[in-house]
Amino acid sequence: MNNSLSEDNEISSYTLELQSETEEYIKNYLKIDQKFFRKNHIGFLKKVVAHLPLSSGFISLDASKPWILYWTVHALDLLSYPLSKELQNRIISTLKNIQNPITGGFGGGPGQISHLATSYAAVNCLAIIGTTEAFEIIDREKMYKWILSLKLSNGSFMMAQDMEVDVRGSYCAVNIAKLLGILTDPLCEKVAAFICECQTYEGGIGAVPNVEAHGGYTFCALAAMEILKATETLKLNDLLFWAVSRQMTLEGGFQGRTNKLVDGCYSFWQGGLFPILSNYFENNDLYSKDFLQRYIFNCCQNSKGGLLDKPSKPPDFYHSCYVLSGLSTSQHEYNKDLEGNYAVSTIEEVENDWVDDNSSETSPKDNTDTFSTTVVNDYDSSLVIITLYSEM
Amino acid sequence: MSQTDSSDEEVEFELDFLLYNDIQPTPQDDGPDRMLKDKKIELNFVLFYLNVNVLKNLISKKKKLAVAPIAYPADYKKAMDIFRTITTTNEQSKRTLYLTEFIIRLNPAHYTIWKFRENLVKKGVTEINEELNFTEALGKLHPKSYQIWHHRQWLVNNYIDLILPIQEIEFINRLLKYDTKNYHAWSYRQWLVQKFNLFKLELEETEGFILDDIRNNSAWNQRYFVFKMREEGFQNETDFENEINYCISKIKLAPRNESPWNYIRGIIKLFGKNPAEVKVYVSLCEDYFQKNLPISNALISLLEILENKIKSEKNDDFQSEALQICDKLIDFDYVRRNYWTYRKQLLLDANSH
Repeated sequence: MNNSLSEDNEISSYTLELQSETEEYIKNYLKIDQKFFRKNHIGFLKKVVAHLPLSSGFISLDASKPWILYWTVHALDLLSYPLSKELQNRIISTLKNIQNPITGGFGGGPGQISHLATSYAAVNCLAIIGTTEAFEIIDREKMYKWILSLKLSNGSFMMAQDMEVDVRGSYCAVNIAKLLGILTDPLCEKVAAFICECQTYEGGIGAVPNVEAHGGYTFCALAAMEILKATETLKLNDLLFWAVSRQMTLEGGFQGRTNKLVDGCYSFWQGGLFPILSNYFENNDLYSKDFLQRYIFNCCQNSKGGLLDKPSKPPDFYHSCYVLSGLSTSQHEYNKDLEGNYAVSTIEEVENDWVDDNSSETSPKDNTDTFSTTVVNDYDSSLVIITLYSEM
Repeated sequence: MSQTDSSDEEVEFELDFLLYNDIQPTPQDDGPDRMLKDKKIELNFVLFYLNVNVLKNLISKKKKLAVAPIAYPADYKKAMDIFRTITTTNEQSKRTLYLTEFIIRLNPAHYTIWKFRENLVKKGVTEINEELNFTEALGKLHPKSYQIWHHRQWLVNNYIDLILPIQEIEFINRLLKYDTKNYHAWSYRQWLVQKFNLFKLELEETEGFILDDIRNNSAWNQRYFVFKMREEGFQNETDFENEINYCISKIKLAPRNESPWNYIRGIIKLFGKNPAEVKVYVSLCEDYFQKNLPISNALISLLEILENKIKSEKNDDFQSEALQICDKLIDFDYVRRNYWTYRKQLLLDANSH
């Protein structure tokens, strides 16, 4: 057997070539500190709710209308941009028109089949608007029966009647049920057990049992477990190791899976795991927030507005929502009280305290100074689990 | 990325709208109209964009209350208007099949249309083979569409007698050529391997993918799946040792490649072994450590080995070596320094109790 272990012996492959190429051009972007283009991002997002129709290219999202609204409303919320009463009402009216009167669920557009993902987007969008008018369009009883009708005997959920099954379904179902106060025992039964089966040998969680660990599904799984109060039935040490390993050494952002490229949206899908995990490890600094923020500010912004995957990619609403969500979670701390409710504080305050106490020391957080002044909002509502109604 | 380079697969699909002349179109219900009290805002927009089309739009149409309308291309709107009528008459015919294809090609995520098409397939409006070809052609154009993969799995599951499993694996291989890490393809492949018990072939297949790209983590994950889910598991100690040796040979080719490191740690657990007792693995890790090469995964493995040793026997040497490893990781795995500091603290806390 060949015993030479020189590090220069790495053989090349497609993955390595792609990774090296990406590092090479991202390096240049990391050198110049960008400011945060708040105004332009608001302008980009406002396009959606302006009076103009979206261009014809958006027909690919014609079955995802509630998503367009959720991404935009949530991102604007993170940027502390208030929606006018008139706009709120128009959004509510748009969603009401997409709601299926028979199932109580929401489809991708008027007249479309009810779907868990679009129902999640619709309900969360209404929760952010947060007015009585918004809550009133939801039919809790029908919604409850419909969600239960999608449940399979192994504790998983179909995304819609006879459609695909994966942990997105689990998260959408328990998230909606929690928000609407319909998280009953029959709805919860075996849900956590199914999610546990999806944790892989790498420590992260896949779409269904045995499938590769993936950031998006891992967030869905962990957030669902947190709502179900079953987080500790996962192998949390393995999950933490996998999650920290997804942060890229040079880029600072996160990848979705082992040996894949960095992508701004994982700032939330992976970065959003830590506020939940931090409560179990009693540690609020498990990943490098400075590195993540540097990646977001320098590589995920379009200076004319909108956020994105990586430089060279165009901005879009999905990335605007999740890059900003990732940024927000990296600037806040989430501490659970004894009843399991989250209290949120901005890190800006925490950092200022720290600077006062240790003014003589050279700060290891030096390079974050320019960033910490751009806290995006007071809280990230996608993580704060509010209950709109009392339990059923 | 390679999967976008599929222009040669693009098929012009034109719909002959004359076929549907007898069908009364049903326009989309966009909800109630909006009170036109905010003319000023509209005027501002007009001035701002100064775009003729926009101007036309504002003047000619009644404004809807709904936000984020999409400016549908004329053909898409026409087809959808016909489709809405067809869902109420529930017509099952070739022309409805063409209609679904036309819409799906413009918007492959339109799950409501797919659902309708599923019923057409059930009623025998199209041949199963043709439907398989259709999903393949679309899969090449839109490899990340949940709906296409779901439809394919539904077809195979429901017409299982008409499917040759090996041909299905070949289909997946054709699509994996465009993107060797396509998540949907690997998910579907696992379902297929279990359904038809193709584990034996699959072990060789993963070897091929790893040979092609040693850093293809989806292939490593698939290999683990084979050992975990095949009936015989690991047949015996030799079987296990062979796998460890296979893995070590791959690590040596690219020691900083995370995939085989995660895999070897997983396989050892799967076989129920204490990592500290797998000699070839332990000596590999120690070798990297002693040569002082910045291979963080070797250190991570060694730390796990030492933690296992400490569990069974409290020994100051093990403890100080483990702490030394943490220090090294804090030093050169800079982005994860907080995490390694936390791991170090765990060791210190355990020792003080």
